[in-house]
Amino acid sequence: MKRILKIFVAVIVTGTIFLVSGCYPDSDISVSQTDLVLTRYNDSVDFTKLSTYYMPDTIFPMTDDTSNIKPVEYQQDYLNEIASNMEKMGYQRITSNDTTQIPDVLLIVSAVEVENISVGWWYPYYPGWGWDWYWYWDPGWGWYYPPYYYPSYPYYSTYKTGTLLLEMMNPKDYDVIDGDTVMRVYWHGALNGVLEGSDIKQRTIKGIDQIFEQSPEIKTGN
Amino acid sequence: MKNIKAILIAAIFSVLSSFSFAQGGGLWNFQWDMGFGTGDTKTFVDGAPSFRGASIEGRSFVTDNITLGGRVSWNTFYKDFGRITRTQGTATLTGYNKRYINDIPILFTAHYYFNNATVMPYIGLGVGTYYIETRDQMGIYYLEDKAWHFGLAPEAGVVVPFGNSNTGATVNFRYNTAFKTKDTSAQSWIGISIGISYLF
Repeated sequence: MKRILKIFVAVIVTGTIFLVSGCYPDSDISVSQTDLVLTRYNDSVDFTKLSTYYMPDTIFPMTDDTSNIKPVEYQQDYLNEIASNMEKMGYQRITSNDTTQIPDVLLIVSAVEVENISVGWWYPYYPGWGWDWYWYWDPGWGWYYPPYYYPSYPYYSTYKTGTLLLEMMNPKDYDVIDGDTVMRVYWHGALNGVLEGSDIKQRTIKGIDQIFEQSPEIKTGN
Repeated sequence: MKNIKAILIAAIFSVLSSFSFAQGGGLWNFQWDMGFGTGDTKTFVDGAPSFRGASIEGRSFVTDNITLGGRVSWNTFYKDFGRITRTQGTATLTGYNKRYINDIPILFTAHYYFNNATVMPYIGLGVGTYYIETRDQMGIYYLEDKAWHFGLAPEAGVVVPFGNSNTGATVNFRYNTAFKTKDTSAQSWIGISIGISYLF
């Protein structure tokens, strides 16, 4: 009877592991695989008529902690990459403080950093057995392993995600909503990913290039 | 190691044999389930077959040729699409995409056997509920649908006993149809099961 109970427990534990891990095989992803690029354009805008833009020389960090005035790391590299892509799209950057020359659009670049918390359960598995499909199909009914079951233990980890946001607006095209002047967004691009690893700069630059690559709609007539 | 396997198998069968005194004969199937998507299931995972699956089935004879029973199974369809770009309206999203379908059919079954002697070919029908989770993952984010579908599974198969013993091999084919719900689309796949039958 004890043996039957042991088998029963082993089957239940193995079954639970299947449900937790087996149902979502290979769900772990590398840091660079977390990178997402989202772009959206306003289809009522005729981008071919646009020509000049203004972009500040700073990436605005958006954070709850307003005392934190640390600039975004590598911001100059990112702004240079954006400027070079904008040039390829046919836009001419206005850098002077000459207020008589009003740009067609503004390009605002900002960065958001968010701390995420992840809680879950680790299931230690029988040494020597991977999570491949053959683990639970073996002609000898090997899937009743492990013969001994281990307690699961919880894990707790934190990770940071960052978003680089590009927003294109026209200062002359605005609505007044509840007394506030709100500029219409013509186009925006966002790059989101986990802020870990040594290649953040390289990943961000690649992401900026992707933002423009998937936005052929914003090309000017120039 | 081999001894542990032998003991486990013997123990499981000894538990199951205790049922044979209580019922008028029947069989248990323990199977490896494979799935080949059709319709929306095929589209969602781009035709990737499923080799992750298992089922347990019990059947009890109510006449010489007919059994009634139940079946619980599980299959995972999975496809790694790599880095893709998808567009919806004026929005475009690029990221690493993985898609999953997990289905757990819980069915009542009825089977008719053409021959109740050495080899037992049969046809049958399963009726019941399909619990299905579909997950579309981009980067660290995913969209998930979970639903209980009503579904049907016509099937055909055969049980081949090993000599005079009360164990045998089983192979069967079924067409699983989980009808669409208010919020989720229909899922369907051809299932092939291979396993061990225990007759009592």
